[in-house]
Amino acid sequence: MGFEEAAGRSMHWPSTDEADWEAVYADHLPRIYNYFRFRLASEADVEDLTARTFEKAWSARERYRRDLAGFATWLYRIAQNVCIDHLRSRREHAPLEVALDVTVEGTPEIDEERRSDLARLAALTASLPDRERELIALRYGAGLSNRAIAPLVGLSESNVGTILHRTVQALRSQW
Amino acid sequence: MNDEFLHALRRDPPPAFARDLKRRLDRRPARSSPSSIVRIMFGVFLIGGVAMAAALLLRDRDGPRREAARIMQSTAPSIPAPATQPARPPQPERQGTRGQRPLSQTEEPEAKDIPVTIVTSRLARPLAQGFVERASKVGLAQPRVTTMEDNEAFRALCGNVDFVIASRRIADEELAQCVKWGIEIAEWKLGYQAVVLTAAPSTELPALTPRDVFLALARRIPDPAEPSRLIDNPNTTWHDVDARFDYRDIVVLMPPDATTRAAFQQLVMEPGCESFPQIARLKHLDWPRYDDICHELRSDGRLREVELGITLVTQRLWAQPNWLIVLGYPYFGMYRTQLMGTMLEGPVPTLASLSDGTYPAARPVYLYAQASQLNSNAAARSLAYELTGPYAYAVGAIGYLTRQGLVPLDDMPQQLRKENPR
Repeated sequence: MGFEEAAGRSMHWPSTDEADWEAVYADHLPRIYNYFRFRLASEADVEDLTARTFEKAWSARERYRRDLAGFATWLYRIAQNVCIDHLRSRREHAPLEVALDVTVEGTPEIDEERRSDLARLAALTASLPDRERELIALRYGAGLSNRAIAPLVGLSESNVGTILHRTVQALRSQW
Repeated sequence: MNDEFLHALRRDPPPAFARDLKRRLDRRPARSSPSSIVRIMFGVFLIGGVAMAAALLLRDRDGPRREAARIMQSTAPSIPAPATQPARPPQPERQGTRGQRPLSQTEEPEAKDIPVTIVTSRLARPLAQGFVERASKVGLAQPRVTTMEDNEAFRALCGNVDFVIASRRIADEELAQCVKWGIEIAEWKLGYQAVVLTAAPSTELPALTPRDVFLALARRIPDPAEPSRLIDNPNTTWHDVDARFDYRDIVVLMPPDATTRAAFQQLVMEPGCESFPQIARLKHLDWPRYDDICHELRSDGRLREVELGITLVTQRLWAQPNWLIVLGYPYFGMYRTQLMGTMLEGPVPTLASLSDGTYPAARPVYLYAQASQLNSNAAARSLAYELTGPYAYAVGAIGYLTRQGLVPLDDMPQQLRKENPR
């Protein structure tokens, strides 16, 4: 079994061994799912795109080459491509306004507050450049470290940190 | 808005969705790419070609010798083919052993020839680190240490790992798996790791649960008004933690050594943290976040580092009867009569309550090894001898691992050490 430090933690390399895939699935499903939530803010699409990402990765797992990229980088690259395809396909007819249909756990009051928080955040990030939206989704949705994000967006680790800091400051000022 | 706020907007995927997707993936076979098939075919032809060329070359060179060998074979008894071994798990490559022929009994490697691999539980990691430092001082082969959860470590033990230092005993089914793969396992119990949260005998604080301790000492805790959010720990008195306590300031002392801190985080803070189901779920879903929430201790002066000295208990702690202190079991054992016992609910820490598992803030320390490695690898044998040999340099009552917090099983090794000083 091999391990890598991609998102600031040890992640399991998916060999054909079933137990390893189980661990990979448990590790990354919430991250990929929340990456799409932050990126798209549409629950139905989030589930669909998460499923599409894992199906692509699972089908192509024999083709993954660890000499070219870490596993997390490979998986999130698939997620990014799935997201780009989706955004392109809906660009002609989908408005930028965010329509959230989030079913969250907790009391109705907490659910409502969290739903409105995410909706408000999505409305604010809608005005941001695509790169900043992507960084926010990778950092706070997928929970990746700056180091893990850097190769995914083609920036240095310190650049990622700086841009994220400025973006969060900008969002805070508009909140 | 800050990082914490943004992280708190995450949520788990709906369980039904996660289940359905997993089911769909399980039914979906992996596709091999056409290019990989071409690569495999090319590799097969290449290897076949090289093998054929080598065979032809040898045939030309060894013609006369082969004739002689043919005569020898006709008189020598035939060698039976090796029995088919059960399938082995995929194993990581070990430096220095790849492509090496098996060692015969008379051909023993030097102790430093083959690196020894040790897998350790997170809790036992400081002990393994102590051993590595010792190994470099006394000239033993430097082992490579990896940290894994116990169940992963035991799976690796059936693979290519020489030693496992675990915080629980191997389960029957895990042992059976190794046996199935033809691997014999050796087991030693080295002792225990334990921490004690205690106070001066005159303290008026009632017994605490791990949840109370977590709420008093974690850097961030769930917001009582909205448990799904985390807030910087606002509790300054024990009454803030729970209404059953008086208004007494929270002050807890802790020695600065990493072993005690790690043991406290894992044996006391973790159970307290996991009393919140929404955090407990993170352990398998989002380890960094779980680690951050459950192991991060507050740094606002409520938890104070203190050097352990002979006057600590009688002068500082007795003067402040409502201060608590976190101690490793060995130090607690020395001052047991001058201290309260444990402030945690449950039995008093003694060797008996440690060994029967009733004292909650303690775990056993087991050492496991592949028996075949002990026979064939001198470095592995030296390491096992260092840890388990009769002179108990490591785990005796004054062994170097004992000084790092290991609780030895009994005092006998100390006697042996006196008689046989190194």
